[in-house]
Amino acid sequence: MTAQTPFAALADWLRRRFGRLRNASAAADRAALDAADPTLERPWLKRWDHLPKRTAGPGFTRADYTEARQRAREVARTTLGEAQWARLQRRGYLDLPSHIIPGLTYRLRVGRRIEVVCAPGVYSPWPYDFLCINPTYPLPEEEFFAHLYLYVRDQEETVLRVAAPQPWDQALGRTF
Amino acid sequence: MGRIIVANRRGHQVVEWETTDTAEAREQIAVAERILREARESGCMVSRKEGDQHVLDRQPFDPNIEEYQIIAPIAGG
Repeated sequence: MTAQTPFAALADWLRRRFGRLRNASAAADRAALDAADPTLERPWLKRWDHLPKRTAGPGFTRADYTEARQRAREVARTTLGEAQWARLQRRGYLDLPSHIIPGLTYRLRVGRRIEVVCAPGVYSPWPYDFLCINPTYPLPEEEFFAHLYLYVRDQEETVLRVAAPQPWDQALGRTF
Repeated sequence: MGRIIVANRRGHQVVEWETTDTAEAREQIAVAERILREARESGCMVSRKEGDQHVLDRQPFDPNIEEYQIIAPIAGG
């Protein structure tokens, strides 16, 4: 084992010390939020890998799905704004030009993989034309559509980093 | 009044706060700030309402913002 320099030892100690403080602070926040509103579901705290595709989990009734989709629609409209919402309703998709790759356009459709459309002479960085991107927790399709729209428009580098290119179109697995 | 839209499998739930200077409002604001912090630390993004649409927002929580939304983390495949 290599001996640490005094600086490295100090840095290590600080990392462990402040790491523990940060964990304690996060746990205190979590307890306070649980107490403030026990009915608020914070899905980022749970793991959802075990759920069957395109489901919201056990105990979700048909009425729950219907209500969730209605509520999602309201938020998607608010998120996109009236002009883009109307365009989506009219066309069934929204096109967003890439800020990073000139001539490349992302075609977003509700509940489906993103379609990559390239102008003549423009080469896609992916080997296939469909990008599979899911939320890490289950969401109604229209709600996630609005989230994906924000990622593509405002944070395309994340899309480039996580997108899984696929040779065919398909419904997303983590939305319903 | 401000609010956070917490997108989840229920469609969404809403957390609201008053902007008046009362103990109750301060507590509501503290809760809202904790929710955004917890979500961001768990990999979520946050958007705020600007005009009639949302934009991704990387700034610290501001109780004077009319509406925030918690945006799910994304993964390929």
